[in-house]
Amino acid sequence: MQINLRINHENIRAEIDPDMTLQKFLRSQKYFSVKCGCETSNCGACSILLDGKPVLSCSVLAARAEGHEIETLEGLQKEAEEIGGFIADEGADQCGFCNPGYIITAIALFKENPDPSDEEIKIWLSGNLCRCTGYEGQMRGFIKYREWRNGR
Amino acid sequence: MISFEKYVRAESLQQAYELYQPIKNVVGGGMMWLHLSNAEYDTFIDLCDLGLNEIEEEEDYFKIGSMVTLSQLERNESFKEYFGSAFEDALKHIVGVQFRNCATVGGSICARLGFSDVITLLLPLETEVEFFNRGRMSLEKFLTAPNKRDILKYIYIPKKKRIIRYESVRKTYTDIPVLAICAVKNDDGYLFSVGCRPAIAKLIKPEEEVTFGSNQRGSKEYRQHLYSVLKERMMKEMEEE
Ligand SMILES: Cc1cc2nc3c(=O)[nH]c(=O)nc-3n(C[C@H](O)[C@H](O)[C@H](O)COP(=O)(O)OP(=O)(O)OC[C@H]3O[C@@H](n4cnc5c(N)ncnc54)[C@H](O)[C@@H]3O)c2cc1C
Ligand code: FES
Ligand code: FES
Repeated sequence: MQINLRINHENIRAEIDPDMTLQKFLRSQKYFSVKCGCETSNCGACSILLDGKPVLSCSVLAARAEGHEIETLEGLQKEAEEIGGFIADEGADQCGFCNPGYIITAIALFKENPDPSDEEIKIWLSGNLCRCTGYEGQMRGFIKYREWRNGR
Repeated sequence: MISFEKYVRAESLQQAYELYQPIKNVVGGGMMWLHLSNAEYDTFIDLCDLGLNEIEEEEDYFKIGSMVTLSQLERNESFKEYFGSAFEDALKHIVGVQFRNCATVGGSICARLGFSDVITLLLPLETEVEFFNRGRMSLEKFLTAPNKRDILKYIYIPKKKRIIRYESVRKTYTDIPVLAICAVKNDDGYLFSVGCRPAIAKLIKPEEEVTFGSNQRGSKEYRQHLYSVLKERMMKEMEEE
């Protein structure tokens, strides 16, 4: 079947299998920032923005994205570099596999709430799992990013 | 992973219902639970174009479309006036924000999961469910009646002033619960909904007995102990309000 959607502000028309997930579709279109961690809605590595909201692309049908706007980190390079820098400075990534999922969720959080409390950051990022570093580094990175963004 | 040959966006509830009658077809809400199944279907029926994704506020009740997401429930400002922080307290542990942006209230009810925080929360709020064919009934009745192939359209929650508390015990922050309790205090006294027993949530009065079982997450005795402690604690807190 055919779908029409927008990916990173570009109109895309593509042929898909009816039961294809957005994750498989986006990776087939070479958006490799969309990672394949668990495929069971548990890890957050496949996070993307669907009409501006973070969702798990491994659990959403590509067919359901018909007529919608998708954003991946490939289309959010400036924000990704800014936030990624703060994560790196805190030594919060080791293998880095979880990073795209963290960053895209953080982009959505700061868009919705430019000055989140520490607790709000925790709630937003609790759906992203990291095997390597234990979350404290990511938390420090996001808190420092918040302070920097808000000129503090 | 679930597989199917055909994807259909239903154009009416009648069409969705008719397509859903053969056992080889399946209807989806947020797909978060469904996509984990290994079943092979002919047709997947998507309800996303039927306008079921709104929360409407009427004079005496909230009318909630079955495709409303858990995030919409969690963030609804009018809910806070009637239900305090109960929706946030119950839903914030469910996997993560990205997940709750997809999982729907309809899918959460129809899946009838024993560990469901959603069902535990909605039961003591006198929630009713409305199906395309079977019509309207209490959530409690739906959960005990045999399941039929029908389309859930709306859920209704009466607007009543009451004190509500929600508590769950989890091994880690976003894990499924070991035990979940929603307690309501109104003019008639207390009402408890006890979920993840690990069987599906059940409504009881404080003086009534409730049965528990064991699974990987906790033994029957552990659940019984947690329940008796939490029940006392929640009642004490509510008395002080
Ligand atoms: C990894 C994981 C962890 C979870 N943890 C928790 C937790 O901690 N607490 C908790 O409460 N829940 C938890 N859940 C369950 C989750 O919150 C949802 O209840 C579940 O995903 C079902 O919602 P859905 O919208 O995804 O439904 P779907 O997966 O789309 O559907 C579920 C079932 O309902 C049927 N259905 C859907 N919509 C309708 C309709 N309108 N009419 C008729 N039938 C319908 C489908 O055919 C299917 O049988 C978890 C789920 C997963 C996958
Ligand atoms: S790959 Fe989607 S949540 Fe893990
Ligand atoms: S840095 Fe390896 S999973 Fe997070």
